[in-house]
Formats: sequence, structure tokens, C-alpha cells
Amino acid sequence: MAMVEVGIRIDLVKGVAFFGIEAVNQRIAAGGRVIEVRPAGAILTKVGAEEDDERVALGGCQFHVVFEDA
Amino acid sequence: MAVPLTAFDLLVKVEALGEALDAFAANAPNRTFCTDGRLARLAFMTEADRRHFLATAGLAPATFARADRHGPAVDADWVEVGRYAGVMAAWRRGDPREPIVVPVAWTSEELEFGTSADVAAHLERLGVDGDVEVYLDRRTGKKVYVGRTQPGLSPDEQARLEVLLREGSDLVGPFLTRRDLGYFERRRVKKGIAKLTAVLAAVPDAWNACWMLGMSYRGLGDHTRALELLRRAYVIDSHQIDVGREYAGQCFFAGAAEEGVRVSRELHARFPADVGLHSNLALALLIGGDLAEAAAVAAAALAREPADAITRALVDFIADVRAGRRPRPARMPGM
Repeated sequence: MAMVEVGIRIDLVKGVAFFGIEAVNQRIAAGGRVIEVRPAGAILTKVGAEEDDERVALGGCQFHVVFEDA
Repeated sequence: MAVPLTAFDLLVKVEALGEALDAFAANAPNRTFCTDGRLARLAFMTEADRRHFLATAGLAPATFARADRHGPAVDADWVEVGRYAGVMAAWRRGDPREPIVVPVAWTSEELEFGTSADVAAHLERLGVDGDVEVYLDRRTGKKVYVGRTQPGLSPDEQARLEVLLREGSDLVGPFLTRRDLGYFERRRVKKGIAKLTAVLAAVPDAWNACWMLGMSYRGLGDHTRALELLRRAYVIDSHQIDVGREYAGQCFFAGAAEEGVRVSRELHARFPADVGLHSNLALALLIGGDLAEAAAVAAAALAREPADAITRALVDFIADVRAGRRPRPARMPGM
């Protein structure tokens, strides 16, 4: 089972960064078959800290794209 | 890292913007800004809007590239364009392309590309809705929308400016290559400058007015102003050989040798078939002080046209300078 991590990171000024897409496209073009897509988690960015509390912002999310074994 | 190509895109080296990156993003004329950390990107729906932005943005030559989704095409060798992550994209040559960064307001819908001839033949302008021009495609009966960052001129204003441009050109035209202007000739050139300046104020991307103004100020001996205007004309439209040639020459007249060598290299790369520009690069290198490369480039230019007397003289001149028989020139000849 091969797994590719895809997702987005959001910056309201710089833009939205998509990662992992080309790796998925290349596997599909090579005949790979997607058998599952799973949530992998949120991308949190530390934006500050107050005493023991850490302030974070949701900056994106990730997925795992699972391919059938070749 | 990569950014998407939408239509008529402008790609700027992030390191050239430096701390001005945030201001560049904030002052963008539309919502197409994004950056992958290496390229800052804006997209325009018409080439005219991109040209207008370039004419007013104050970007230095060689810090930006124009990339067209249609083609695709790009006018700088430090950018690559192609399909990546399912879309047309651009990235710095040699850089990894992952990830691709798009503007927050971006969608991957394909745009229809039409030439100005297509527009004239098939589209009927219905009007303007905010900053969007609306047309009717007579072939399909559907409405076509073009987002603009710069309103077009009214027909009356366009006609007035064309008259001003023609009158200004007629006044300065005979003196563009003269250096020995008399009192009445200088007065005539100044009248022409006033008209061309009015054109440029109304149409900041009028490269021809900008170029003639630069040449006129050169004739009057104001070489700093001439360099500013010729540089700006080159930024607006670097595809005109004469614009680049005179800009490079003005660099050497205004004491900007390093800039002159860089422009000469760009021109030779952009117009490799032009042997004259090949020789000019050799001359630029000579003036800039790189005698070994000047000799090699001049020899290569002469090999392409062995019968060219000017290039032959340049080869001999460089040999004399290298041997200490002549001083190194500080400016282009004929200036």
C-alpha cells in the first residue's frame, strides 16, 4: 500500500498552497488506483502565547491518498 | 514551488521586491496576487492592463517576467512554464515545483482566449459593469466578460491623444539622433516634449511616447531623464529592438555601465539573429571593463558576418585596448 500526503496551507495574503497533488497525478498517470482517501489532520500555526496558553490558528489540512499495491 | 498561470500574468522575483513585497501585494489592482516565496504573481485579463500596470509599478528591468497562459509563453529564461498539479503553472527555473500556491480567490476554470481580431470580428461591446467589460458573442449569442484593472479611453479622448502624439512626434522626430541642436531646434523639441508628456500622463503605457521623450531629452543633454524614460519604455515593451538598443546605449552615456551590460546581454539573448546586437554586446562588455569576454563576443559576431567592417574595427579596437595601445572607452560611439 502506497500513501501520498496531500493538503493545503492557507495564508490569506500569500495564497493557498496545495501540496501532494502532482505526486498523486503522477501515480494515477502511471496506472495507480486510489483505494482510499483518509483525513490526516489539521495544520495549526502558532500565532502567540500567553502564560501557559498557546494561541494557534487553523492554517490548512492534510489527507492521505492510499493507492493499491502495484 | 509554483504559481498558476491564468491569462496575461506578471511574475516578479521575490528577492527583488524585498521588504516591498507586502506593499506590492496590498497595491495589486485586482485579487490575483499570490506568492510561493520565490515568485510574486499577478494576473490580468488583457495584455493592455498588464502593460499599464508595468508602466506605473516602478519595477526594474530583469526583475520581472511576462508569462502568457495562451501558448504558453514567457519572456525570461529564469522562469519555466508548463502543466503542474493539473493546471498551467510557472516556477523559477531549477527550483522544486512543490507546492503550488494559488490566490485565495482563485478558481481553476479555464478562460477563453481571443485575439484582438477575434474581438473585433465576433464580439459586440454591451457596456461596463463595475470593472468588468461585457460583450455579446455574435457566434454563440452568449455574454462574454473581461475583468479590467484599467478603464479604457473614450473615443474622443483617444482621438485627442492620437493628435497630440502625432504632433509631438512630428516636432521631435527630425532631431531624435541629433546632438548639435541650435536654439530654434531646441525650442521645437521642447514643444514636442510638452505634447508627448501630456500623452504619457494620460496613457502611462504609451511606450512610443516614452521612447521619443527619452530620445528627445538625450538630444537636449539631460541624460539622467533620458535614461529614466528609455528604461521605462523598455519595461513597458521590451520586444522593440530599437527601444532596447537605445536604452542600453543611454546606460553608457549616463554612467550606468553595469546596467548597460545587463541590458545588452538580455537583448542578445532575446534577438539572437541580430548580429548588430551581438556586436553591441561586445562593445558593452568593452565599456564595462570585461575585456576578455568582449574580445570573445566580438570574435563570435565577426565570425557570423566576416565582411562587416564595423565589427572588424571593433575586434581591432578591443585588441588595442587589451594591449594598452588605446584607453578603454567610457561610452558608446556616436553619442
